[in-house]
Amino acid sequence: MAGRSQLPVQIMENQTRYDLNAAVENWRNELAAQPNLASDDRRELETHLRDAIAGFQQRGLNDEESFWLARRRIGQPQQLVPEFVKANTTKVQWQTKLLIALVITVVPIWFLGKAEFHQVFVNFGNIAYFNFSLSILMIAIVWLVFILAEVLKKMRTSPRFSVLSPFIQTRWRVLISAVVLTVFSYTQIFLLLCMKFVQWGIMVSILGLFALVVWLLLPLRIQTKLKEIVSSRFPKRA
Amino acid sequence: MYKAAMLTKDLVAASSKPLLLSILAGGESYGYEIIQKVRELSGGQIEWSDGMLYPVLHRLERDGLIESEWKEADTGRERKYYFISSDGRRALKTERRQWLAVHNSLCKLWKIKPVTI
Repeated sequence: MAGRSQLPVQIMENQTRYDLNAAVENWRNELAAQPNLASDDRRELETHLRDAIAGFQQRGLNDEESFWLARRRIGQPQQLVPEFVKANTTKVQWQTKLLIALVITVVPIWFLGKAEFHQVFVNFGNIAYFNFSLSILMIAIVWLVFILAEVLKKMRTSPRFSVLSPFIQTRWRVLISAVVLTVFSYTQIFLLLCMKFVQWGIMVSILGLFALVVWLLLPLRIQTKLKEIVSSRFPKRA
Repeated sequence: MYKAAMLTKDLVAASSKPLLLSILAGGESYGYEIIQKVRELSGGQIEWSDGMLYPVLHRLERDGLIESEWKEADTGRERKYYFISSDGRRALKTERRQWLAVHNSLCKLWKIKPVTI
């Protein structure tokens, strides 16, 4: 290393000129610019960078060399991020998705069978049939989500661009979406069967739709953060 | 993880699972420590790219073989520690049998004394 043979004054000058914290800060900003990387993953990579820098420093390298080597070992964010996304995404088999969509369809229709089924379509949009109409809409949405998700996958669209990804990104998300929609459909039908609760039914419908929209629009990063908060409240047993 | 100095890309990818599970079976650890350990164990023959270790760990975690937790180290720095689950221990047993089966077959072919399972 050329720096070693320099005069002590020059070495000191070099070291004071190199701001390690600023370098780490820059690196962190570069990583933060990657939209698909969860905050937990960023934090993990940053602790790794700091550990690696400390390791090189212990071996006698200066701040600049340590940072440079540590950054190189971790690799380019552009190459890393797709691997992180792949690792965090569960491949849900299309058969599983089809099964869930079928269950969500069959259960309310079986229930509807007890009422006059055709009446729902005849009176679609009628306030008295508001809940029934909404159930049918929900079923349609589930199928739309299912079909669109498959089409988008065929088109190899990046998960970032898919509005549907919050629904189907992990096995848990598919399950939660399915349970929410099924319970929602059940509630609608139950409330309609007890006609006096029509107002309640409308309220539940609006709340349900609101929750659905929130779930859809809530960015993955915020959801990961929420998960972190929950897991820090209830730490896993080692 | 796919940058190997001595091992081929395929072999590095295939061996990462038993290596990680075996290391974690010996006690909880974090990414940087795991990398150092692998480097040390293999005498530098298995060279993982640091950043690529994490997706592999996350995949094992997603499959329920390992779990993770943020914990403060003695130095006061927080690190994400990984530890093996009971499913992971079972998976490790299977991996061990399979790798030893390959190992023993090769040993017989090359007339080296095999290891007992």
